[in-house]
Amino acid sequence: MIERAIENWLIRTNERNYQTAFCQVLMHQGHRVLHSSVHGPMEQGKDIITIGPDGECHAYQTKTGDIGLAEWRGISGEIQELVELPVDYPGVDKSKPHRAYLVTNGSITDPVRTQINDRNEDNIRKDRRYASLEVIPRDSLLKSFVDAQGRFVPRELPDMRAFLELYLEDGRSMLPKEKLFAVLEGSSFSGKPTKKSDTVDAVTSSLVIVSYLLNSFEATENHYAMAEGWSILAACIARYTARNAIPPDQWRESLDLVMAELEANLALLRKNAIDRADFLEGDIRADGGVMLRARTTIMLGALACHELLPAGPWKADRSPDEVLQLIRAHIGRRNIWGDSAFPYLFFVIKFLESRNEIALARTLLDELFVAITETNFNRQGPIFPTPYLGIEEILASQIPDRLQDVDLDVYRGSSYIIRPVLEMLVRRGRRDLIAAKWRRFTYCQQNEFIPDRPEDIFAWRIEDGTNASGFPNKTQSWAALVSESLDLSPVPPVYRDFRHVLPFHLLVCPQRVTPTIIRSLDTP
Amino acid sequence: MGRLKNRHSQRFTAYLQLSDNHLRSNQITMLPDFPRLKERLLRLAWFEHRGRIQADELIGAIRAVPYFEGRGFATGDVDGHVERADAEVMAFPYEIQRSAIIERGLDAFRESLAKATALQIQAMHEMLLRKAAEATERVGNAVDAGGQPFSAELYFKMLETVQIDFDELGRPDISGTRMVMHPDQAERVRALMEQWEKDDSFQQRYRDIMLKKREEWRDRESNRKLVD
Repeated sequence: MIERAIENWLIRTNERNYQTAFCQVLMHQGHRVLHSSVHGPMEQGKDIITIGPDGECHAYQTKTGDIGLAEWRGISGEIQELVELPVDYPGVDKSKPHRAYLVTNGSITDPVRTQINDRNEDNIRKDRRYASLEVIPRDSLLKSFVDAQGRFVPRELPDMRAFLELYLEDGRSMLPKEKLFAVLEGSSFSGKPTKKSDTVDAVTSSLVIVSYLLNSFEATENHYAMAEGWSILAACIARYTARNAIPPDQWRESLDLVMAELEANLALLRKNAIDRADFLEGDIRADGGVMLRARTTIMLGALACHELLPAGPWKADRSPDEVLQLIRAHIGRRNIWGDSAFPYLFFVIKFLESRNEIALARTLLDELFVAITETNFNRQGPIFPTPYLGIEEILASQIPDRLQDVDLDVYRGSSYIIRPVLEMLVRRGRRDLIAAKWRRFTYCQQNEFIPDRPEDIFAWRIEDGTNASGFPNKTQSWAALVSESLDLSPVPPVYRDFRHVLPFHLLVCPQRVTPTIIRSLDTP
Repeated sequence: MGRLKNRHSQRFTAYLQLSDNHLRSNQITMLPDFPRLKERLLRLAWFEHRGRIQADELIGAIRAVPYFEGRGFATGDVDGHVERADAEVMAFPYEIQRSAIIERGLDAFRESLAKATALQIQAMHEMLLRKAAEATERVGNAVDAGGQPFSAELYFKMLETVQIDFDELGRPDISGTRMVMHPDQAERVRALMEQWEKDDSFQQRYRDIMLKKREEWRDRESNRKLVD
């Protein structure tokens, strides 16, 4: 059944979507992936470049669908480059011949195979020293995927149910984050590794699973959902490897692959956004208003976060000028729907500061602080609900077509983000504003969830932890506040180890925002 | 099944098995069924249950905040006291006969659930009063009536011990203040209060206490500030 499910995915997907999973399979086979065109431009007919376990350089060109003579003629130029041009990549010896592969999720017809064989033999006969072209059609590709992850796919209900629901999800929707966390934690990352290969198997399987679970989102080019999906996988890998103290050499390259995929989707999201006059989406009859404003906040926050991610070994496609242009054009339509909107605004503020747009950044931060303080002090009017409620639940609670299970009013007077926002102001020396609002500020209960194990911040929900809450000091020393706001000693090493995973993870899991995490990200 | 809830410092998990096994058909083979409709009906029953709890004067006056993860709580009050506690499970049994379901359908279940709701409210009252007693004991503002009947003097003594906030216009905010007593006694006290309120000396004493409370509140408010 699982084999059929993977086959179903493989024949329907495109090369962009299976390429990352294929890279992971190659890594599982002992390759070191140097380049993947999903994460950067294609290198002379070579979508993937690796150093194999044999020490030789391997170059792959990936395609979608059956390759008959007509298709073969269409790609012959690229194939010629793949075979004839040496691999021009830092660290690769150009004088040594490489191995070349044509990969497709379809079949390769016999006449094409004959032509490939003839060409290979001709090259050998004439001692041209070109690479010999090998083919990896669907059947071989399928076998490698099944071998890589088959034993990790969930087989028990309700995991299988969540698995299938995700696979069949409407790709235009927001990603059901809870389900993806559940599938990964219930399959690839469910056990404790006892030997090195367990870790490698777990990470490999997870990457293949995520590739095909995100298929419907890939098909609709829902890049934000894709970015969330890859971020969830990055978080699961971070938690799993930290919890089991697994050495980085066993997972670092895989995590890089995941982060590169996350970044590639954010770059595509930016390109999509830059071509639009507004951010209306889908059926516009029911769009606009608060929905548009929420989408605007999400878009700007995600793109700002992308620009601020620590650089990795992959070629990142970033464009701070375009993002600044987008923020200037759309920031007026922002919406702060609750605590779960804070991470988006945080990254917009940080990005603006990085671009020296201090006045706008300051306006946004001041406005946020005043809004949280006032809404939580007042007994009527707008509410900032808990970060455990995402934008979709909050929007749904405003549609009067059903009995509502969500009572937003109970969240009045308490906040998970008021302390991190306060500390941001303190670090920026905004004593005047804080002093002006302190009396009302002291009425807001400050909440925080503290997991027993630091790496559990990368989980969706956890049992082992404490819901801490309390009120600020009525009389507060500014000097003490400054000292606390700059104190990085409570930052656990795992935050620093996964500093590149943490930022986007906060957009996916806004309930993980704590003063300490924001302190670690806000402090140079 | 209920969800994890918090009523200020009172933590509990309320479980309501809305579809216990003994209520399931015991046939091995499947007969035509309507699970989606049942889900909607049971959801209505759940709302009714929740509505009854909210309608309780004591419980309904307290904000119930859902918590989504974690087993422990560390709750700080306005004075900085932190109370640590683990989530408590509160379970309430209910009985329902197959024959009752056959005869009266969902109404039979709703009646049974209403009995469980009453048990839950009672348990919540007990827990709330126990916690309130612990808190008053801790801060030392318990008033001992010494076995005497409720009187104006006792009422003023109680008023003097509690902290009262005022709004921006200086009006007392007693929205969070409740007197909890047996219904029979409450009737007697209500009648007494009506009498006392017509008494000028009672009114004067009340005003004096409020003036004092307002001053205390102003002092507290003036302490809410940022200093060097």
